[in-house]
Amino acid sequence: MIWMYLSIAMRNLVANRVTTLIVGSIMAFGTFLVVIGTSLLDSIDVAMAQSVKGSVAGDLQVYSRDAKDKLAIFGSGFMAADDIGELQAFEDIAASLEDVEGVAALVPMGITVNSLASNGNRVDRLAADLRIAFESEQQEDIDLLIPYIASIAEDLIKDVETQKIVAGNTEELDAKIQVLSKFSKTSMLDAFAKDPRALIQAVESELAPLNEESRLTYFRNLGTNIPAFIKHFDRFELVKGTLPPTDQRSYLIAERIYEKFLKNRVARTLDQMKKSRDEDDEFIADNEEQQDRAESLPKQYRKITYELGPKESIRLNAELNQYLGTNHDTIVDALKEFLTLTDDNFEERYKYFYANIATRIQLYYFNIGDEITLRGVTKAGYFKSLNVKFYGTFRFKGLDSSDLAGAINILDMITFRELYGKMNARMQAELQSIRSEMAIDDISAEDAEAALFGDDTESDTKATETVAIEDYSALTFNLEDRLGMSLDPNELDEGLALNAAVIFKDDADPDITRERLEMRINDRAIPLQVADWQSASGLLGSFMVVMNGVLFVAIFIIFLVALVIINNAMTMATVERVAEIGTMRAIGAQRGFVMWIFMIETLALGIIAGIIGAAIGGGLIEYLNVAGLPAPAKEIRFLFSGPKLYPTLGIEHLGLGFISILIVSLLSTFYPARLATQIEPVVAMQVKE
Amino acid sequence: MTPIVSIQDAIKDYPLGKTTVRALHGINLVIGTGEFTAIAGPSGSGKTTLLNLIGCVDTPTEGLVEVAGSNVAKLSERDRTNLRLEHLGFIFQSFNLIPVLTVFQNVEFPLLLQKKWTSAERKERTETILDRVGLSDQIAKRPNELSGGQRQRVAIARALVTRPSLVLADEPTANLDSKTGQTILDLMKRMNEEENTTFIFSTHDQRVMDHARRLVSLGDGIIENDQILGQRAAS
Repeated sequence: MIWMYLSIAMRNLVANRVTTLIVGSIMAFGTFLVVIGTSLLDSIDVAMAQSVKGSVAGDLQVYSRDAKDKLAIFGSGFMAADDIGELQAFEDIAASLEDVEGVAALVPMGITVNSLASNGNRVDRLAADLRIAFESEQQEDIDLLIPYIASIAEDLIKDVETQKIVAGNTEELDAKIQVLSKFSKTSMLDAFAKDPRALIQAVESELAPLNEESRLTYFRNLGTNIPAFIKHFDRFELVKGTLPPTDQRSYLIAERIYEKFLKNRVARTLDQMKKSRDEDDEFIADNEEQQDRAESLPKQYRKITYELGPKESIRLNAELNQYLGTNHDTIVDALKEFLTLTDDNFEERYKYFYANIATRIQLYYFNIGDEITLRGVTKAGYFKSLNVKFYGTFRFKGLDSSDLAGAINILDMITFRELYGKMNARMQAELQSIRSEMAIDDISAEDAEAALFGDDTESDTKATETVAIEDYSALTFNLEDRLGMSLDPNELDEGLALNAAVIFKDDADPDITRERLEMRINDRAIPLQVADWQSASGLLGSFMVVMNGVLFVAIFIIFLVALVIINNAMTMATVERVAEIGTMRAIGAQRGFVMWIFMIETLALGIIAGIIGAAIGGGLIEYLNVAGLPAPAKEIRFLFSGPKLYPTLGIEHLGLGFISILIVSLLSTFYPARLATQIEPVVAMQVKE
Repeated sequence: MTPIVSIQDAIKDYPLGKTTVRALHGINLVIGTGEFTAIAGPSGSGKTTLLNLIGCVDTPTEGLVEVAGSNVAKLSERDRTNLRLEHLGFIFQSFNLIPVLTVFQNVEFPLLLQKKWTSAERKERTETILDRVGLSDQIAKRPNELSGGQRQRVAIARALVTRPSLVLADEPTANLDSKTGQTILDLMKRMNEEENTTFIFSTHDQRVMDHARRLVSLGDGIIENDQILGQRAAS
C-alpha cells in the first residue's frame, strides 16, 4: 500500500515538474538556511563562550546580591560605572565556594575606570632640558631650546584660537591665550636674561599644564589577582614586555589600547593605512577612509616635531631634505612634504619612517617599564591617584580585535582596592595604630610606608607631582618603596572584590557544578548571585540573543513563505486532480486515502528537498570548517573570534533543518488535502475529456 | 434470479438556483444478477441520475434504493464507499484512468484499496484480467500512450478485477468510434456471460441498445419503457 502512495506521489511530482521544482527549491532553501544558520550561530556561540569565558568571565561570575545593576564585564553600554555591589571579604567567599565539587578556583575581580597620565609631558621634558642646559652652561642648547619652546606656545595659541571659534565660553580660552602669549620668543629671552630659574619654573608650572597631550582618556581597568588570573584564563596572552612579579604594583595594558590610543598618532595612522592596504586592499586612490588618513597625516607633523627637540629637528630636516631632494628651511615643511603620501610612495616612506623617524621619538605615550599614574574616583567620591608599573601589553586570543571586549586593562587587586578607596582589615588596623602613634611619636621607617599607603590625600599629591630628573636617581628605589610599589602577595585575595570569576575543573559538568554552587550559596545564605557568561558579558551576551532572534525571524519568514507557496501549489494540484480524485473515490477509496495521497506527496518532496538542502548546507559548513568563513566586515571579527570562523556541523543542525521542513510541508498540505477529501465521487461521472 | 438492484418510488431533486429540478419522478426498477441491461434515453432524461443512484455515488431524495442488499440512503459515507469497493465496478465515458499510473497499476488499484490481497495475488489477478481484455503486452504503458479503445479496455479490466457483482458503465462507447465501440461491447458481453457479472450501462446510441438484453427507456425522469430483448445463450 505504501508503495502505492509513494508511486502515485512520485508520479505526480514528476508530472508537475515545474511546481515540484519551485516548491522543492523553497523547501531545500529553507532546510539549507536552518542548517547553515543554526550551525553558524552555534559555532559563534561556542567560539564566543570560549573567548569570553577564557578571557574575563570564567565559567561563572558571582557578585553581590545587593547589586543595583547587573554585572556587565564588558560594560553595560553606558559610560556610567555600574553599581554591582561589593564582596566585602573575598577570602571568606573563596573559602566557602572553592570546596564545592567541580570548582577549581575563584579569582577576585573589580572593574574601575581610571585616567592614565605619564610623569610629565613634552613641555616638562623641555623644561628639564633647559634646566640642564642652564646648569651646565650650554649656551648653544639654550639658544635652541627657547625658540623651540616658544614655537610650541605659538602652536598652542593657534589651537586655542581654533577652539574659540566653536566654543561658547571664550573667557576661559582668552585667559589661556594670555598665559601662552607670555612665552613668545622675545619675552622668554628677556625673562631668561633676568631670572633663568624663574623662567624655567614658569615653563613647568604655567606652560606645561596647558599642553594637553598628557591628558588621556579614561580606561576600564580590571583589578584582579594577576598570577591567579593568568593561570586560570587561557585566552590571556602577553604580547610585549614581561609578566609582572607578584609583589609589585602592576599594570598590563591591552595591546589594542596600546596601539590605538597610546601610540604616536602619525605612527598609528601609518599603521592603519598599511593594514588596510595589506589586509583589505584599500588604497588611497579609491578608498575614502584611506584618503581621509592620507589627508590628515601632513597636519599631524607636530606629533613628531614636539617629540624631536630642537637639535634632532635640525638633523632630521637635513636628512629629509636629502631624502626628498628638497631644500626646506624648517622641519615643519620637510615633514609636511614627507607625510604627503600617495599609493606609490607609501611603502617606501613607511619604511623610512620606522627606520629614521620613529627611532628618534617616543613612539608610545608610555614605554614598557614606565611608571604610570592611574587616577580615579573612589567609592566615597575622592580623587585618588596611584602609581603602577607598566609591565607589558596583552591580548585575549579571539577577542582582541574587538573594541568592545579588547578594551580592558589589567591591574593588581591591591591597587584596585586602593583606587576604589577600600583597605583591607589589616591595613585599616595598622592605619589606626599609626594614627594614634603619630600623635606622640615621629614616624618610623616602616610606619611611613603604611601611613602613606592608606592616606588618600597624601599619595594623591605625591603621585601626580612631577619631579625634575636631577640627582635623585639614588633615591628612586626608596621613594618607590615608600610610595608602595611593593605589595604583599598574600593580600591579593584578602579584602574587597566587586565580583569573582568561578573557574570549574576541566572535567566538571558545567550544569551540575553550577547547581552545586547555587545550592551551597543558598545553604550557607551567602549574599551572592550567579551569572553565566552571557548575562555577565552584558552587551556582548545580549548581542547573541539578538542574533538568535534575527535568525529565528528569518527562518520564520522563509517558512511562512514556504507554507503559503506549498499551500497554493497543493491547492492548485487539488483543483487539477478533481477528476482523478473523484474517480478514486467512486472506485472505493476512502477520504483518508485521498488525504494521504496529498500528505505523502509533500512529505516525499519534503524528504528529498530536505536531504538536498541539508546536504548542501552541511557540505558548506564542512567546507567552511576547513577553509574558514572570512568575517564579512571588520566589526564582525570579534564575533568570529578572529578574522575567520571555522564552524562545526552537528547532527542536531541537520536534524533540525530536516524536521522543520517536514513539519512545514505537512502543515501547508493539511488544508489542500482536506479540500481534496471533500471531492464527491459523483464528479467522476461528469468527467468529459 | 436474486435482485442486485432494487429501486422503489425513487425521486431525485437537484437544487438549481432558488428552485429545485426534479430529475427522477418516482422510479421503480429491479435488476437481477447476471443481467445485461441498457438504460437509454435522450439527454436530460435522468439516466445519469439513475446510474448515480445505482452506483451509490448519490442518494435519492425520496424512495428506496437497495444495492447488493443494502439500503444505500441508510449507509454512512464510509460504508457506501466500501459497498462500491466490494460490490461495484465502474466504467466511465471518459475512461477516467489515473494518468500517473501504468496500465498494470491502474488495474491493480481497486485490489490495493481492498487491502485483503497479497502482492502475489494482486499480480496474478491483475495479469489475468489484463490478459482477458487483451492488454497483456501493454501493462507497463501509461494511459496517454494508449488508444481510446485500449484505455476503455483498461477501464473494463479495472472494473472487473475485484470480481464485482455489478458493473456500471456510463455511456462506455460515447468517446469511441463505432468499430472500437463494437469491440468494447463485445468484451463486456463476453465478461457478462463468462463471469455472470451484472452489467448496467447507459446509452443513447441505438447500436449499443441493440446489444442489450434488457432495455430500460427513460424520458423526463420516468421509465417509459422496460423491455426484454433476448436471453443469454448460456443462462
